[in-house]
Amino acid sequence: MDALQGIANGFSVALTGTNILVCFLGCLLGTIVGVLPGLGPVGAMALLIPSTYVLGPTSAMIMLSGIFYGSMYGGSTTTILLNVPGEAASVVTAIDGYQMARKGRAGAALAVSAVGSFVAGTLGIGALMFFAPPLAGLALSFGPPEFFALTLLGLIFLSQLGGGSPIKSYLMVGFGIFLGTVGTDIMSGTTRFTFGQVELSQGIELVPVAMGLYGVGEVLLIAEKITGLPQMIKVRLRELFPTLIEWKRAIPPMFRGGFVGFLMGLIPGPAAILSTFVSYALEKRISKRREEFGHGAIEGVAGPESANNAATAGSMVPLLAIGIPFAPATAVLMGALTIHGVTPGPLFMRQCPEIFWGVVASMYIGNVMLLILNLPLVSVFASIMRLPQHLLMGAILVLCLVGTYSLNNSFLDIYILISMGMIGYVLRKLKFDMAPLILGLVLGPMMEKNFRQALFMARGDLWFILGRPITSLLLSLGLAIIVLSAWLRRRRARLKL
Amino acid sequence: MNKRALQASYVSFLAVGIAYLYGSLWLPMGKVEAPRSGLFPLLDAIFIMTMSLIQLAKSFNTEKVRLDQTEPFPKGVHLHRVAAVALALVLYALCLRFLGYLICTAGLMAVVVTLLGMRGWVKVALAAILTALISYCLFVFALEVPLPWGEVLP
Repeated sequence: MDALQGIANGFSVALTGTNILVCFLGCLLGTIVGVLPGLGPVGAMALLIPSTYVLGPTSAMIMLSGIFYGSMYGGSTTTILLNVPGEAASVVTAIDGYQMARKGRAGAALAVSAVGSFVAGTLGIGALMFFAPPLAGLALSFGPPEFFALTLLGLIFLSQLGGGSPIKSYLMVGFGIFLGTVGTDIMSGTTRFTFGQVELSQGIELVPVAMGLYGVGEVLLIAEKITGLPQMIKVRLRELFPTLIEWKRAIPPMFRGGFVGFLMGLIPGPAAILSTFVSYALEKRISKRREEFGHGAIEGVAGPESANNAATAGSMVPLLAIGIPFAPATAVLMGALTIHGVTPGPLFMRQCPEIFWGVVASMYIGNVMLLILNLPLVSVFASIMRLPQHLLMGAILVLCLVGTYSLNNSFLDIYILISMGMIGYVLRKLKFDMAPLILGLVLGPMMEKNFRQALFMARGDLWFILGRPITSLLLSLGLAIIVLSAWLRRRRARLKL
Repeated sequence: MNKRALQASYVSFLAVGIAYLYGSLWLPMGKVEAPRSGLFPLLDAIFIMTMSLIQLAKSFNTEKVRLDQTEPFPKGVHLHRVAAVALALVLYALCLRFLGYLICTAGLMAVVVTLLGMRGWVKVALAAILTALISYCLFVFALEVPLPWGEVLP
């Protein structure tokens, strides 16, 4: 099936009544999640997995993907109007977006941000559509050694590029892999680390861990510091039109941001966040009005806001093409697919074309919905910030508890959720990144299976594994990243001295 | 304080690594050409232990913890509030099997909204009861998702 025929079929799937409704719901919820600081797309997606039980896998994926890319739109609203980034990927937008708002150009900043998100998001989906099928074709030639090397490389990238201490991230990866080994070993049927608990033999699932870390952990963090209602800059509908000069200045950064964002999305790690920093730095470097950056340069809003949207499309490529999630949000999407009985992998596009193309088509539809939703209703979304925090946090806690229990009707999942919430709270205070733990949990079992199969294949001969061209290339790349970033850190430390 | 907390976290990871190593040694290892269920956990345990030892050694070598490495833990009333929410969650988990979803959720909601700043017992009671009832109806009747059934009430 070629891309054009695929997308035509995808539209026939995405344009059914149920799928339009779930796409709209996903985009709406995503925008709300993006607006609210704290609860991010990962927590929200994990939180809403149980509500997709009544839907088929295609509709479930359409809704959860809508939350993922919708959150990128919503994140800019509170950033520009309140200087409170709703999402980590909107932090960079605060630099110039809020300054524009203070100068009375909030409407223009919001419009440029929404249009930029739409343009880059649509470009990103186009690239996803043409990138994923050949990549899946290439992945069909991969054997266990290549898959093992690829998952290992993904975890190395994530730990090195996460921004914090790489060793702390590696610790979280190791801990995530440990959680992934609990339960029945799929290759031999041996139960591991279950302490005689029958319920644990099914293993530790992603949903209670993700909800605990991102949902309960967040409630505990908010319980620590209750804040009052913020002061918001008001925007009228007629102010939402940038001037011709502003459009001229904003359009090239939108396309550049889209390009940078999509490429960054393909790389494992916090792609949406990193892409905004790269796009901002790029815009500042090539701008003729460098002195305006930090004081309300429209390029500083258009570039990063476009980049984070394109990055979400980019990060879907590894999941949909080869079945390996490289970001926590796509790990949750993979968890949802597994719950619905679908196994992502290189054959996913051939075996489930209606899901792949249906999701891609729904992303086009969702982007249009988000543009319509975000521009005229911007003040409505921003006023969500005025909801009493105690009610919101209480509701999040209840949703986490119900969602977790409904997964397997298991009390053990509730105990895991609460324990992970408390562990997550402490680890967040100590600045441990949660993403490596989530990816370690999801990729760990996959890594172990491929590691053992690779050793079986090689009859224990490690040179056979290392001698395979793709495996050696991927492993060398991983090693190069470790060495290079260690050298850069040492150099930076020396310069500080 | 934070340096100690960081060190404590590395020691905890080390303890997890040791326990994990011990557990994995009881599992069948197989041979390199035919690895069994114990090999991968063994390697992961060694990895966790190595990383935590490196971090622990580094923490003893540095005088002060950089500000971007940790965030201060709450003190006084802020700490009490976090501890109270955590305690409420633990009690919720313990009582759920006996008291059921409705009573436990209403109780938890009442505690959480009060701790997070809602004032007036009528408001608190309304918020607690309505949240429990609405979520119950939404999940059980609309989404057909079963919820914990206690010995006293659903």
